[in-house]
Amino acid sequence: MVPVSTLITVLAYAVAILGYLPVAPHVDLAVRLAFPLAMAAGIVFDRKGKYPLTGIPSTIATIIPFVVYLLQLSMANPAAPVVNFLVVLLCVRIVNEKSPRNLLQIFALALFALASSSLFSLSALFLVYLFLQLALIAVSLVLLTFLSVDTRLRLTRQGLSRVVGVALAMPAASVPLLLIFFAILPRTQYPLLNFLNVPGERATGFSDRVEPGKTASVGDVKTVAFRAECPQLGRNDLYWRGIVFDALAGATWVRSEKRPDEVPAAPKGNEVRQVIYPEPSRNAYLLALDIPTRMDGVRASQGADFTFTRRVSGSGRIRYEANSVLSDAIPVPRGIDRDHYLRLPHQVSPRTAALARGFTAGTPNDDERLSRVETWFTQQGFRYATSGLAVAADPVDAFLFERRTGHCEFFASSFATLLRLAGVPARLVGGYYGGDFNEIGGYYVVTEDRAHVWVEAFIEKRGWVRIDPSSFAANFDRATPSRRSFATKLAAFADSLTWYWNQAVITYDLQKQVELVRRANRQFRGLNLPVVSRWLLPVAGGAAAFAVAVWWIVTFGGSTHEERLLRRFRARIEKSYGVPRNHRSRGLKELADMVNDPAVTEFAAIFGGAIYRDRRLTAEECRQLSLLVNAIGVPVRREDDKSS
Amino acid sequence: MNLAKRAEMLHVIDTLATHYLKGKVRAVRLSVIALLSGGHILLEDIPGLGKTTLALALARGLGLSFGRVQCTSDLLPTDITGLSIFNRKESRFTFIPGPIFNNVVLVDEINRAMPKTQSALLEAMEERKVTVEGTTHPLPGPFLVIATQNPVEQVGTYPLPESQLDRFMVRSGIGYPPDAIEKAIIKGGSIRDGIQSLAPLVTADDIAEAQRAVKENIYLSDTVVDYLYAIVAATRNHPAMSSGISTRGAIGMAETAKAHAYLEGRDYVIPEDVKAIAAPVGAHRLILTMENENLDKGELLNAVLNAIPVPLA
Repeated sequence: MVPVSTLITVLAYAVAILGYLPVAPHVDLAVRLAFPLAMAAGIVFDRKGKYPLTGIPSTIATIIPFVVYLLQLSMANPAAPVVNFLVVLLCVRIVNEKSPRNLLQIFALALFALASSSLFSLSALFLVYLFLQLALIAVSLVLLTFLSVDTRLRLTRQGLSRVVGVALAMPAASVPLLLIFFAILPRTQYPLLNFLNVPGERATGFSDRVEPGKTASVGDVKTVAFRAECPQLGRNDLYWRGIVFDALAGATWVRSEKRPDEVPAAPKGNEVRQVIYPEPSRNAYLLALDIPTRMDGVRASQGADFTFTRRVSGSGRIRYEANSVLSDAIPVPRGIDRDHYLRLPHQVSPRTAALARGFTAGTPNDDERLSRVETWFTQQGFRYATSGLAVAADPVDAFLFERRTGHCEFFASSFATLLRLAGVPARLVGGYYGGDFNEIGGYYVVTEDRAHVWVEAFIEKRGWVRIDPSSFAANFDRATPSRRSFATKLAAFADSLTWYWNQAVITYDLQKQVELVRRANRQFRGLNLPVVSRWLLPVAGGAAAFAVAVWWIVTFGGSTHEERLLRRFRARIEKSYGVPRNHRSRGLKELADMVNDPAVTEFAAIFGGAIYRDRRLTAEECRQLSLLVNAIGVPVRREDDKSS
Repeated sequence: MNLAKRAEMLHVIDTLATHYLKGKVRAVRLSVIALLSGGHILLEDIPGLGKTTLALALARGLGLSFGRVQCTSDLLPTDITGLSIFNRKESRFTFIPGPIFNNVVLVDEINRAMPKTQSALLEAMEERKVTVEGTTHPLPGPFLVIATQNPVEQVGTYPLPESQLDRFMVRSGIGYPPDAIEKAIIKGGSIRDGIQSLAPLVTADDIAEAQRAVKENIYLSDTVVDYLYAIVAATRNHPAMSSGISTRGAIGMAETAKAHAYLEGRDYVIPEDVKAIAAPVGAHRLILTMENENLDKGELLNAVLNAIPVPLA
């Protein structure tokens, strides 16, 4: 026969040790020594069944370290004082009586201590500690439910093994769920249930081929493609370069396997540094502002056309830093393989060819030809649209002469085809254009519907020059967006929270966290919500202080020991038996008769015996009453227990 | 704790209530409380519910002498107090004591007696002595008057005025017994004969000692006095009452509360004691305003009690 209380005490010690060990190397020497001492004292006290340190000594032992460590707390050193204090609290709990409440506190503190050890070091041992602790706590919690029903319960060996088995089955059963929720789900790159509702239309988005003329419309997807931390830029600079399409396969622009070698020179212009957080995706191209020159933080290979691809295509979140030069031309002083960039689609309609011939009349130079194509394009008044698109084998012809509406792929591929027909080397660049600047976080959010394709034409001396044919559309709007509404501000705020979450939790790193908190603090201070922010903090603080003060006065203000006891008594009865406490015309004995609880009856007798004899309660009576209050609602012990 | 003869008193109540007066625990208890606190009891109920049986059984069980007065409108004061009759042998008047010279006196249908007789009786109750033709005769102790009156029948009665009601310590109804008990009573028939053979359970000395214990050994704290006073004051200020509980009523409440505490086995009075006896002791002393005359006084007093917080410190 094993008494449950003993068992649970032993388990509590084990859990506490498991909480202490991982943080022991990181806490102060005094605290490190205090824990074994507290353990020893706790065991001795348990044996004796007396807890001399309960009450004021414990409170002092809690308050002094609290003050000490509170003073040590700083931005530079946020973790150590907290962990030290956690261990101190654990010590205090261990020294005291192992009541169910204290046991629960021990479990919680031990868990916190273990969790906080990860702030210092994160070894694989952490997992071992964690699983051990979780298993022990699970068993303890189950035993605790037994204990709360009968404090003197004893279990036979057989019964005990069954209880432990069932208790262990619970954490074991939760492991698969744990894996799904915390290991598998966060690592999937795509929503798991996406295949259920594959859209009939192609969605916009970054892709590794440009094939206009395949579908009649494309849908807008507002999912986030990536976030980029950088200063706010003009709209004309917001071309996020991803991929370069240099070859044609039928009417489809692709990136050819064998690209001619060219040696670009360093582009000139303002340098911008960005930190980019792409959403997980299959896409291996790394995006950055046009023209990226350098990427750090990820293993990437750089192409001669300033495209960067990840060497290790992995899942999960990454972050990288990119250096870009804001320029619309890539100088290639040694020239390029013109033939490669002048290859034509298999199918060029006669009217397209005729049109192109018009641009070459009089053998002008590349510059002149480009400007002719541009001029013509601008004059046509093409319209930008994502629906009612041409579906044709020759999308260029269909776009230029029939539909005259299309999205960026039509504009870019038609423009590039015309350029090539006119003898100007041209290629397409895929990426994103624009982005919503989040003032709170100081970053751009770029959504999938901002995926874009533009053209680069090779002009002697200047190099690859960026031309965005979509900007020649009649309905193209380059105007800055109108003043943002409150709703979009809120959306931006919500997005910044997601962003901080990704930064703080997904790509976890203590140093960065601290930095993040500091910066968030600075930037939220900068956030100027009308009226609210200025008054919110002081008003909320004042209200909280006021509420605490009122509560304090109402609860303890000028009350005697008797009143406090009585208040506890009434509260306890309300909790245990549902008798409302504010029924002032009900006497103690009446209450006792109502609830039929020996503890209540005894309380009424002792309390009444004092105050209705016109005397105060003695200290002994107070102690006794205090114990009785705690016994209210606890099931009566069995007969055989009384004899023991 | 010095609660002399408490066990005996409880034994009386217990024996009477379980064997002879089934379903009348409350009335028996109130009677004993009235006896212990030196007051009298007025049973107000319709005939045939065992008022006389109660009085008889109480007298037998307590080992006291029993006298009975059946009131009618031509009952004279001397029919109660007794009178002097000329003794021819001795050639002088000798005093023949009336039924009032008993420990337990049942005054049946007190409201049928004419006011003159009523007041003579009430004076005897209050003074505990009878003066007949210039000679004062003390009444034996303990002395308990159990008066009954029929509240329904009003023809040819002289209802007790409020001032006289005030002299009864306790007024109570008896009520019908619970179903099962009443069926058993119907089956078993009248128990008058059984009562005749009931041996005394206590002696007069025991009762006197118990009365002394209630009077001297039960502590009535200032706290409870405050509570009692709050009740009395509340009845005096109540909008539905033209006058509340008198000082005599308050004293009566205090005395009966002590007796109640004594029976409960406590040597101090708690507010619950006061609550328990408040309606039987206080309600009949209330005088309601004209427009509220139909209200039940007991209910009204309970409503007052529910509005007064119990002192707890």
